[in-house]
Amino acid sequence: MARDKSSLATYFKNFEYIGNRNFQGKQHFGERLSLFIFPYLSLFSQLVVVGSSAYAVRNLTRETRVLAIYFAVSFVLTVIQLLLALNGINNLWIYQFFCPVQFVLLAFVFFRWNENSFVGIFIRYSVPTFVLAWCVSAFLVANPAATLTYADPISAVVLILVSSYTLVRLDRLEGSSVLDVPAFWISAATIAYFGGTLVFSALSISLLRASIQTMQIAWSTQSVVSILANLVYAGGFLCLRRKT
Amino acid sequence: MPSSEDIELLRAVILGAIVFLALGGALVASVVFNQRRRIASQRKTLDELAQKEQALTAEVSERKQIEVALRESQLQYRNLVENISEMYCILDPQYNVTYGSPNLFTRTGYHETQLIGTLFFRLPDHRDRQRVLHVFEESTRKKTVDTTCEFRLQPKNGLAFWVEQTTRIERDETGNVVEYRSLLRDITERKRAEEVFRNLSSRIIEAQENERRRVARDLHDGINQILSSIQFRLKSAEEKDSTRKNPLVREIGEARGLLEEAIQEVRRISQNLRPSILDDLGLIAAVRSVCDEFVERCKIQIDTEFSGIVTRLPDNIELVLFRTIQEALNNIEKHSAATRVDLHLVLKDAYIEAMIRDNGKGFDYISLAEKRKKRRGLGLDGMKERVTYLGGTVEVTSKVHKGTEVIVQIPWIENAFSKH
Repeated sequence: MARDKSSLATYFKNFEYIGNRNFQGKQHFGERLSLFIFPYLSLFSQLVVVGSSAYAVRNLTRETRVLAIYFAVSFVLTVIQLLLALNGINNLWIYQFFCPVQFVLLAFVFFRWNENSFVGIFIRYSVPTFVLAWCVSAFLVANPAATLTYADPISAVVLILVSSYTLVRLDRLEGSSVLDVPAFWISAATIAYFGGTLVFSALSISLLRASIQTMQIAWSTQSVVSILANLVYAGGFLCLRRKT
Repeated sequence: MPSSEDIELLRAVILGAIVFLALGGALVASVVFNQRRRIASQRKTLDELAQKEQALTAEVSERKQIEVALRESQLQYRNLVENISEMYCILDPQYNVTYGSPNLFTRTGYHETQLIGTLFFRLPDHRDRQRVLHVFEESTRKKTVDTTCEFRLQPKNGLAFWVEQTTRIERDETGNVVEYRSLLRDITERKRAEEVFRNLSSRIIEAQENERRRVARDLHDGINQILSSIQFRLKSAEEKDSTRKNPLVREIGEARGLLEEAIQEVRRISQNLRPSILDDLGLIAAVRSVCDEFVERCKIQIDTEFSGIVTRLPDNIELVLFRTIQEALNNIEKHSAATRVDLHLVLKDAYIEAMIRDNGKGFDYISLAEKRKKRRGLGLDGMKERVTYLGGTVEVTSKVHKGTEVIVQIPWIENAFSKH
């Protein structure tokens, strides 16, 4: 995914957690940020994706156009999150509110690619269910600005499954190379990215309690995964250009 | 230093990331690999298809060329068929006309619609119809490729004319007839010429026989009478000297002996030229007489069999058969060195057959035919000429050291009387 939300959000959460322990969060954050080269590289890799979509803008299909918009929005939100974090302002709510938007947009894209299969039907019913569940979770159960919800790992699982199915379907593709099909690149990147997200979501509670060093390494790992995923996403746009 | 819990946590993070990366990578690799393999397979199939297509294109092209050549050939064939003076037709296995050249319709007077799809055998004259059908059926049965027959073709209006039909019998792989392709050539002129020739030959033979008869009569009635008179006078002169001591009388006696021989020789020549017994007593008596002379002269045994001949046959048939038998016996005497001869003379339903067979040294018929080309005059030609004139056939079969057999067949119901 273009936006390195997991690392930053979790980092900020960690920052809050540290703040609650009467640390000077801003100072700590600034000090440690200089150590995190990978989150910045991850941010740069999002720019690569956005640039690729702009490069192939004339060749974009309806699905890839939605993806391009998504990556552009995601990049902007990541920058905002970063700025908020650098100024010591809670940015977790942005991530929480972006989660259903992200799911809807990606679900739409995969729905279009699997329209005539049972996955298409599954997506059609999972989107409203997910949004409803997110609303209940965010507004009635927990405070989205302060607590992580379960929406993120759930959406990650759904998108991993859908991407895998898309790849399996592409296995039966006739007539052209899968390397020329954006769905191939996007699905592959989605599996990698949301795989990383899922791992972080699953271990987020433990990570919040871990040492700063451990968090740094974990985030770096997640950033590496994000960078790889973003490069593959970029391939999804560039293949459109190559095809023409 | 990170605690062991942190290390475990990091391990879980990294392991989780690796698991998902590996999962994605495996899926991607699987898809790419499968597709590459499928593309390679498809490419191979496409290459094979391309090769097949190329071969097919070449074949189609070749077929087209063949079709063009065939069309041209058919056109030429059609032009040829439709422009030749002969008539041409194609019959199906049931002898129905399936195609006729324009000439066929013109000459027969039938419209195309009246002939196509109908039996071919409406065209031959009713006198020849059965015979033509028989020829077709026999040729079909014997798997003959080409067959020829002559018949009178009866047009819709007008007089029948003679045609020679040459038929190619087309068969499939199993030998069943697919179609008959017949070329019909008008041979009326040839038939007329043959008739003229036959009449001419007949007249020549007749003149020859008349001349022989006249010479024989002259020999018998003229010279023989004079010789007999001389002999009588010599005998009278001889009897005047009963002692026979006079040398002149002895001379007369010797001369009378010679004269007797001359009389016998003249009589034999006369008989050969025209045996009076043939005119007086008929064929069988004449043949018996010839056989008796033959036995006496050559000392060769003859077994004769005469069957069915109860009345006199027409003169020309009797004469031809007599001459043929006479010629055959002459040949046996001169060339065969035989010790035994069988002679059968049989009257059958439609023809009379004479068979003369010896057990002599025989001959090679082919080398004899070569000799005959160079030196005419052997009796076989004469035999054949006479028999053919009566519409009959002569068949000579011989093998070296296996004897010779001559079979003469002469139709006698139709031909013998109608022609003469």
